[in-house]
Amino acid sequence: MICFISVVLRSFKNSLQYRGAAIAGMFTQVFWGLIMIMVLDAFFMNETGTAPISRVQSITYIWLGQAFLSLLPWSYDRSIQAMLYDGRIAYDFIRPCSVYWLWFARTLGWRTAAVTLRSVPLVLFAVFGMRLLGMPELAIAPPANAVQFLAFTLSMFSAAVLGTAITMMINVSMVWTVSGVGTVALVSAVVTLFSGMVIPLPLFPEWTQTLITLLPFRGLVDAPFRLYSAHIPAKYLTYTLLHQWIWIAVFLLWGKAFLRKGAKALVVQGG
Amino acid sequence: MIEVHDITKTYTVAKKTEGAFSSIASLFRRTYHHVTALDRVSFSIKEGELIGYIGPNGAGKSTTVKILSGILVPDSGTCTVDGFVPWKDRKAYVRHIGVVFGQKTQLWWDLPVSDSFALLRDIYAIEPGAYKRSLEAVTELLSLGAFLDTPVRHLSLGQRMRCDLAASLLHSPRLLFLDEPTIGLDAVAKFAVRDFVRQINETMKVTVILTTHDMDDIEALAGRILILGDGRVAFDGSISTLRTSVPAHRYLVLDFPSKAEADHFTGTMKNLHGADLVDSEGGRVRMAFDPQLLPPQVLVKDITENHAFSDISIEHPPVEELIARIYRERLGQ
Repeated sequence: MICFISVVLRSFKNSLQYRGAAIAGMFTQVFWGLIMIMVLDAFFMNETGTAPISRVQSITYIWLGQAFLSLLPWSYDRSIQAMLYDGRIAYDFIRPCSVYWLWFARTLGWRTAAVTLRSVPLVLFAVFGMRLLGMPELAIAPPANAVQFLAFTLSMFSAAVLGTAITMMINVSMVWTVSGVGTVALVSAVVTLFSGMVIPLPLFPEWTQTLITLLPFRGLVDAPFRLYSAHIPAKYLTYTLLHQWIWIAVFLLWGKAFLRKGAKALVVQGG
Repeated sequence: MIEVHDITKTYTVAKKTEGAFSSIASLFRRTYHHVTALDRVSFSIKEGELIGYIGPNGAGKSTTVKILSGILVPDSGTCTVDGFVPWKDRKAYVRHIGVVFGQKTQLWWDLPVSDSFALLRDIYAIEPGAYKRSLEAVTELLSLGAFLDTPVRHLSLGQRMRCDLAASLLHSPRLLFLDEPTIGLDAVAKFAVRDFVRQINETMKVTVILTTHDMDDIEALAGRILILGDGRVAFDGSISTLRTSVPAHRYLVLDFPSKAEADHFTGTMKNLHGADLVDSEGGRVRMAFDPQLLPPQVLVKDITENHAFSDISIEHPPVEELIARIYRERLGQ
C-alpha cells in the first residue's frame, strides 16, 4: 500500500511539470465548453417545458465535463507506452510488486495531476469569467447543497478509479500493439459518447436510457455531475456507487487477467 | 548460488519479405521462423564470484540475464538461483537481486534522483535505518552527493549510470546483474563504474554477473569469463586459461627510419620462415609468428643480422583478439 501511494505521488509530481500543456488545454476547453453551452442554450430556447434536465443543470454539467476532462479514459499513459517501446518496462518486472498495480498507480497519479492543473482555473473561469464576460446565466451553478456536494465528491473519487481501471485496459493492450493509437481511436469514441461528454445523457432518447444506465461509462461523468446539481438526489448515491464499483471490479479483474496473458507474450527486446 | 542446466530459449519471429504485395499477403498468411537464442546452456556460479559474460551481438547474453532475473521463461531446462526458480515465485525472488539494463534507466526522467531512490525504498519496503545506511554507502562510493537533487534529464550519461547502479543496490541484493553497464561511457566514467563494481564485489560480497563488449571491463574485473556464441557456451574459465587455450601467437613490431626501408624489409620477408606479415604502415611493420615453431630469439637474430631498424618490440595478442578467435574458430563465425 505504501508502495502504491508512493508511486501515485511520484507520478503526480512528475505530471505536474506539464503546466504549459495544461494551460493550452484549458483554453481549448474553455472555448469548447462555450460552444457546447451555446448550442445547448439554443436548444433550450425552443424547449416546451418537458426537458428531462433543466437548462441550468445542463450548463453546469457541461462546465464540469470540461473541468474533469482529463479523468476520462480516452487516452493511454504515455510514460508506460514509452517504457514498453524502449524496454525500460523490464524494470517493472523485477520489482517485488504486482506490475498491474505499479501501472495503475502511475496512471492514477498522472490523471489526478492533469485534472488538478486544469479543473481549478477552468472552474474559476466558469464562475467569474462568465460573469465578467456579461453572461452570468451561462456560468456554472454552485452545488445544490452540502449533502449533494459530498455525494458528488464520493462518486467523483470513484469515477477517477473507474477511469484509471478503463485506461489500464488500453495500457495493457499496448503490450501487443506497442502503440496505443489504434485502440484509443476505437475506445475514445465510445467513451466520450456514452459518458455524457458529447450530450448530457438525460437528453438521449428514451429507448437508449436502459442501455446507457447499464454501461460503465455513465459512472465517469454523468452520475457525479447529476449528483452535483441534485438531478440525482443524494439518497440514490448508493446505487451510483454500486454501479461504479461493480464496473471497477470488472475492469480490475479483466485488466489483471489481460496483463497476465500479456506478460507471457511480452518479450523485452535487445540488450 | 546459480545453477543453470540445459536452458533453451527460442523466439518466434514473423517473416517479412520485400515488396508491397507480400505485406498484403502476410495479412492472410504469415510465415514464421525460429531464432534459437539459447541452446542447452549450462553453467554454475558460486557466491561471491564476479563473472564476465561476453559474446557477439545476438549471442543470447541479454536473454540469459532476463531468464535469470525472472522476466523470461525458458522453453526447457532448469535454473535455480539461491534456491529460487526465477520465473516462479517472482515477487519473493526479485528482492534478492538487482539488475541494471545498460542503456535503459530505471530512474524517473523528470524527477530528482532522490525521488527515484525514495520510490525504490517504498517499493522494496526497506527499513528506514537500512535505507539510510545503504544510501550513504552508495552515495559515498559513487560520489553522488552533488547531484542527488538534480532532475535525471539534466545528468550526463556517466552520472546517470552511477545513479542507476546505486538504485539497483539500495535494497542490498546479494546478486547483481549488470547488462552492459559501461556502454557509451567516457574513460573516466568507465573507471568509476569498474571501481565501484570491484568494491561491491570485494567488500559487500555481492555476486556480480557482468555482460559487456568492452574487453577492458573484462580484463579489469572478471576473475572468470563465460563466452557465449550462437546460443552455446564456447568458453568458461579465467583469462589466463583463455590465453593458454587459444593457440598462442606473438606479434613482432619493427620500426624503420623510412617507408622505403620498411618496404625493402617486407620484400625480403620470404626469408623469415614462419613469420607472417600482418600490416605495414609508414615505417612500422607488424608480423605474427608462432613461438612454438619459430623461437623469438631465432627470428630476432635473423632480423638484426640482416636489417637496420630503429625500434623492436614483441607483443601478446590482446584479449579482444583471443575472444574474436574463439568466436571464429569455435562458433564458425
